[in-house]
Amino acid sequence: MRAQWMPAVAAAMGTAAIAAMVLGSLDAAGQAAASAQPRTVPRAAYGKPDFSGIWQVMNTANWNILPHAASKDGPAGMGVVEGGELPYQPWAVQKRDENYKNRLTADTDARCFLPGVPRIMYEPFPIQISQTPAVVSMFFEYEHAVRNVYMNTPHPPGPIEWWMGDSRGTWDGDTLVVDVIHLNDETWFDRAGNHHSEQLHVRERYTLLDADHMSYEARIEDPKVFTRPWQMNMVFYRHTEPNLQLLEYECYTFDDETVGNLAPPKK
Amino acid sequence: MRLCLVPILTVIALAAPAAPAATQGLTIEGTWVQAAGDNQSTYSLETGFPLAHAKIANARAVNRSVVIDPPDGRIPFQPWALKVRDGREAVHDDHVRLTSKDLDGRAKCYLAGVPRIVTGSGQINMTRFRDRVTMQTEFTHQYRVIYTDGRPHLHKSVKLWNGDSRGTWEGNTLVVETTNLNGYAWLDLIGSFASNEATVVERVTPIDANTIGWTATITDSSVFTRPWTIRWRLVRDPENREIWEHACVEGNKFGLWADIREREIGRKAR
Repeated sequence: MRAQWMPAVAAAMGTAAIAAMVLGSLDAAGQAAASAQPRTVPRAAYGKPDFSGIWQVMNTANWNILPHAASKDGPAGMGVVEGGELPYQPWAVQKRDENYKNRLTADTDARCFLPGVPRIMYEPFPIQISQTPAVVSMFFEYEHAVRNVYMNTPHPPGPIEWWMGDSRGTWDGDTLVVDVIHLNDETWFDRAGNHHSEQLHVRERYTLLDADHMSYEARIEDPKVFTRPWQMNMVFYRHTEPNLQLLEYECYTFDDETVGNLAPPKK
Repeated sequence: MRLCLVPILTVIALAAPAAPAATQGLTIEGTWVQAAGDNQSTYSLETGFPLAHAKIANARAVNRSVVIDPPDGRIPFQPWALKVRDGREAVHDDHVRLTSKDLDGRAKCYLAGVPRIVTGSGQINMTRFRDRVTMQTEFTHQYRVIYTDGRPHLHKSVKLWNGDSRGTWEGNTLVVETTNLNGYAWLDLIGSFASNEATVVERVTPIDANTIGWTATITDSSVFTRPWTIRWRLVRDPENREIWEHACVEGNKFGLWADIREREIGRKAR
């Protein structure tokens, strides 16, 4: 699996690096000229970028959002957190270490529970986005999770502790900005036990880079667990296989299936 | 599979009248709920929603079949299949004899299958896009993506709880053909079932601005003696509520199934 990812990852990183070098060499006038060029991103009839399609990350953040070597747990990764460190309060480091020890049973991936936000975005499964002016809906193959990002509407009054939180969207130019609160303290950021409390506040920014690539930024604030806000960044890739569609990953049914409790009766 | 279904679809297409002028401008889009007084058919497609169960759900009892064909309102089970269903019904409310195998998947928070995802859910939202219709239920956050772009069904090896749905438009009526069902999901709470060879054809028709009619015709020669059809209505949610979280699996560690599993394996399962 890892071997299959490498060429694509390398190619994507190469393109980004070249683009960065080109942009970096432009003077102010050049930059203005470049930004005046309309980017070739799909647009909805109402003018905003159209995120519709099936997307997926190509990283190992679900195993560990921080830079990490390969292990029996999963493949290596360069990390998705700016600066490569998390500003934990001292007590929260201990909790992280405890989580790590119990990860094979306590993590939501092991329990087949909804993984929360932002983690659902980088579970290694496809995501289908459908978009209207009023709501951006995300369907996840992973445990048929759903996020409905209602646009230009207020969060319902709390306190509410939902597994997937409450998401409200606004537009900042061509960037979809999503504010997420009302989360619980039972989900982690990854299988390595990086965690948060019910005071987690996520601000996401979705920006199309071109027709098939999307930048995803998530600013994380949680005064109960961290000493300051921090941010993770990654890229979503569009699935371009013909007729690709979401299937099902009903994790919590597999035990029942294995012991034969689900098999339809035969004549 | 696809080829042998063509005649069925053709018959339906011929039988269906052209969209009458009265449905012009009507849409199946929006948020819908069960029509009051209709058979809350998640309990029994054939007999309705008995008083004892209605009390639990704080709903009205309804003694009416949603089966409109055959006319006797009964599911045309083959004899062996009826025996299976009746066996399940006999223990469905007996919490001592009930086993994991005989427990309705809904009590385990499993996906509902087609058509129960519609008959057994409270709030349903549907949105029409150029190449697909999306459908989601608040109950256990289920969704369906019904492609209307003419693509073929999945390979028959890919079996899914909610199957593989393809749609076509006949005026404002959405016609959906679902195959690739895994056959795990029951059709109602008392154990009615189809196999993983079933084909379900649904017709979703706007009747007026606030009502849609829904029929589902189930064809499965390994379980039934003939195709059969159920019909029910949904009404527009007067409050047009947002879909909020209904996390079922996550909260199911204290339910009926947890008790059954504790009895079966001698400890709490989670």
